[in-house]
Amino acid sequence: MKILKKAKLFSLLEKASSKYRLILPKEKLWGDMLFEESEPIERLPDNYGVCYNSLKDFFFPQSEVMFGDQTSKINSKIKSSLFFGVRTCDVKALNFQDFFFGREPKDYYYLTKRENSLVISLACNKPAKGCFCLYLKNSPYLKEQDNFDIQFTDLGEEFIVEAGNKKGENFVKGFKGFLTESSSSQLEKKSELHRKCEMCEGNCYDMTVIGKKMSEEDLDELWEELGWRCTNCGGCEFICPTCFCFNIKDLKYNDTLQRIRLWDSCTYKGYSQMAGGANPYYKRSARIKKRFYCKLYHAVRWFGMFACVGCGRCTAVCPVNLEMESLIASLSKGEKYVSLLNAL
Amino acid sequence: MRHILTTCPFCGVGCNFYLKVADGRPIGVVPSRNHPLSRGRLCVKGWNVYEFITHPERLRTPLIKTKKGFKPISWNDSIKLVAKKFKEILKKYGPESVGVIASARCTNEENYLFQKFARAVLDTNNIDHCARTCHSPSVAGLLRSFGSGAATNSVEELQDAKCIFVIGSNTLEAHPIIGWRLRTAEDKGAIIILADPRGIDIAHFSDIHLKLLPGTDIALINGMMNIILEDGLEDKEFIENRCEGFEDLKNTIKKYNPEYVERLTTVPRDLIIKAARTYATIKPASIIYSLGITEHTTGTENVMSLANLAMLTGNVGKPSSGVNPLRGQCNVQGSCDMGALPNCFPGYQSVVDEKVRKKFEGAWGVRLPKKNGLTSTEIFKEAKEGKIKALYVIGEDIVMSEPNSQHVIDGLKKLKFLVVHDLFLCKTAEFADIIFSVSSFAEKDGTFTNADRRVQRLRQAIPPIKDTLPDGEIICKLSEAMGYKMDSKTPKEIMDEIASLTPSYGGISYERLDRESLQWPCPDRTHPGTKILHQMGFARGKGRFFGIEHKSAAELPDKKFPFILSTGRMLFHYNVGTITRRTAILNREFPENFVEINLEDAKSLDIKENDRVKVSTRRGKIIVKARVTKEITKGVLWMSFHYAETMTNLLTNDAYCPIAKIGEYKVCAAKVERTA
Repeated sequence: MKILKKAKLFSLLEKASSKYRLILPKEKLWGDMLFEESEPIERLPDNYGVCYNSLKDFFFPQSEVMFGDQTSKINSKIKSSLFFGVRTCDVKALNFQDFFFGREPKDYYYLTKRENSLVISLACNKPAKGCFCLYLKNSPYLKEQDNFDIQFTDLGEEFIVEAGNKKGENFVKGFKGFLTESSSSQLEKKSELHRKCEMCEGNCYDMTVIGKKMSEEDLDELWEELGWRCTNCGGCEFICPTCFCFNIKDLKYNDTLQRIRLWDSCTYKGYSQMAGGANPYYKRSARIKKRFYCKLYHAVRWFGMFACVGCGRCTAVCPVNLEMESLIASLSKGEKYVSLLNAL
Repeated sequence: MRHILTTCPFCGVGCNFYLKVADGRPIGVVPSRNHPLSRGRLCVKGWNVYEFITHPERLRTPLIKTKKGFKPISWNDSIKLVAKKFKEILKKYGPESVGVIASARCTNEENYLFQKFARAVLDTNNIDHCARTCHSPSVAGLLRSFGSGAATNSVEELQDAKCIFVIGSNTLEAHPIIGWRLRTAEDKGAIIILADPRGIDIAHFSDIHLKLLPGTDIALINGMMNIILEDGLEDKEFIENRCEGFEDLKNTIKKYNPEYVERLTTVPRDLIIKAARTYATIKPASIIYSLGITEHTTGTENVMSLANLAMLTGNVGKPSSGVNPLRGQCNVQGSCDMGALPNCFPGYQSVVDEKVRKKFEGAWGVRLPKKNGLTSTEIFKEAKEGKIKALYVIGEDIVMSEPNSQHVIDGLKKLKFLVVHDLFLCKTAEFADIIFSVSSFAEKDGTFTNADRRVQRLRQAIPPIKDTLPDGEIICKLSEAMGYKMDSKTPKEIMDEIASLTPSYGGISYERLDRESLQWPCPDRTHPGTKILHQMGFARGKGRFFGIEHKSAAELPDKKFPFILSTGRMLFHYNVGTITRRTAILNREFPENFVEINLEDAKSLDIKENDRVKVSTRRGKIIVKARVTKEITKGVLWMSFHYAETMTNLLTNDAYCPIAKIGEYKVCAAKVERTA
């Protein structure tokens, strides 16, 4: 493993910016944090938690012209993107999306952008407000068995730099002038930080119990109640770094047609409506049930992981306080749904 | 990808989000996580708002009406032509023959220009906008009772109320992010009282649901006050020290005993008693209301009745209390504040007050009209009578949004000249002589003032789409062509001019708005803005009680038209639908018009879900799908007004409130029958 002195961050990013488009956490008005294209920076903002937009925005944007674009030609050779300061949960979410879009038939739109990117994550030393990866027994840092490019760990004055795959190793090689070898005490410090952060202080939920409950018990009363609560804004799907559903629309401009794909949400009635008008998910309760089964049950069976990484964005986005964590809590206790009001 | 923070162009909540822009194209939105109103949230309309901006049907050039339909015309020629036509008509028929309909979807700066254009260039006070058909009774009613016509409290406070009385507001659908506060208050243990003839979503978590007959709000509120007084639950100290006219109220409400009120409203008396006691004893209690209160011939009196109720229990001037109209459009509060009204200059300064008029004459360097102008209701009436000759409509589809559409259409057909600004070829534009293609909210700078008097920035995310111009710029060009040069042209300069002439906006500036959330009154540069009105005393000195009698709606059901038809808005569409009907995801949810009918009524008429039915009133008929539900009061039909193909407002009644001149959208007599 390597060491990058924080004082050298700027020059590393500056050099990288000649080859890459830099995408970094950026503080906007009202203290909002967003991933955005940026000039090289000297330091990352303090304790920024997760940015409200995730990397999904860059590989699978909210709307994307598939063909028939009138304004710009499709440029096949775009500059590579370098993402820096990405949180662990977002890397895990990316792995999930890679799996989905990388299956047959492969998704050209996603994969070309994704292959043309490098992601440098920053392990969390402290869980941020509102996120709950620990409660899902998800780790706030990436381990050897995880798939990642590069992980940084903040040791105070310097970062530990850890390459997780070939792509990452190549990057480290290319920038070795900025890096030094790590000492054993630095490695010890890193493990200590990771260990400390992994200690779950709140209630950890046993997700196997929840899976069993969802497969065996009749929870219709719960879905009925949550169905009345949900107002179908679609925000939780849109903000979710793992959600991947989309709709396709065609627009007619005079003599040309343009095809656009855009984010869709399973809580919309139209999402599951058949061409003839019949709808197996007509009731809101059925749609809410479908959403949570997709996230917590089917995803495990289909992709081998939860479609929830505990980033907490859906808690912050919900205009009716229907929160993933509150739901998991009520499922694990076997009690009625009560909002934990974690996002106030 | 760039992210530009801006204000949502739909309802009056005033959520802020970042427009995501890539390669000059808006490709999505992300809500502001920390903005005081949004707090990371948006409704379904906000999440999908980026879609319409680049829609192929956007008007991309000014159009002129010819015998062969609309033809493109250059900006220069169209401006010249409009200037010439207006000058001719002014010369021949005088300034009383023209009118301007301003827009609650345009910025404060633009509305300021619109009223300046009407007054300084056209020499008329005949300027009005859609506040007439939504919250003009709130402005008039709260002004009479409290001395200020705006919401008394801030949106953020609602979640800390212990009791919330929701009347005539489908908050979760029409103002979803205020609905979030309502939901949060309930999650924190607040008691929710709902008065609504329909089983809207709020009914599923409200503690008391008063399913009143449309048009009986005054009876219900008087009934509640009768019980409060009977039980001695009124706030005697507050009444004594802060209010006047109590005897008037007391005498009037005497006869509104629970039995009588039950008969008028059809609400069981036990529920009325429970609601009255709950509202009077669990404090702080907040009232939120919307068009279910205002869109009646008794609209202003309905609002004043709510003010009575709040004052009676001392629920004014305190955090999480008050009387809060939920304004319907992004800038309907601002358009009123800017004086896009026939009787006042910016900041509700009366046009008949000579001192005020002198001030504006001095600032604008021109003589200004002395008489109050016509309201939009009167403008359409006079157009039909042939007295209004030319009309200038900015971003409002009056054909679809005014009650009794045919009446408006008849008026438009009689005009000698009609100019329309719009994003799309809307129903009203079809009658225009000249249509100006305008820029959307994403293409301009400015400010909106939301429901809780908060002035917020709109920031340009992309340059105006080719051959469109922001509404304000068009007005500047036209003024110049008519011989009056507007001094301030950029939005920032205009805001400085507004601040210099409008006491309540005196401290507002773009520099401050980038750092602070400011609510008027904000009289100077150091003033922090005002979160809660009437804290120390009422704006008018003492709060005024009015004894108000129940009056029936203008048109009641009879043998021929046995149902009450009520109308409103729903979650997935917005007003006349020009935008949301062109948003793929929104239109997919509810692609066509429908009528809600009670299950028992439907059975007796052999109407089943999705049947095509004819809904008719004395004014018109349309054919729509039936939606059969147990959740609506028997004898009541409900429709939304979002569909241009089947215009619900062909049916509604244009009888209006004598004070605020708002039409009675919420009650008219109707018939429904299955089509063969």
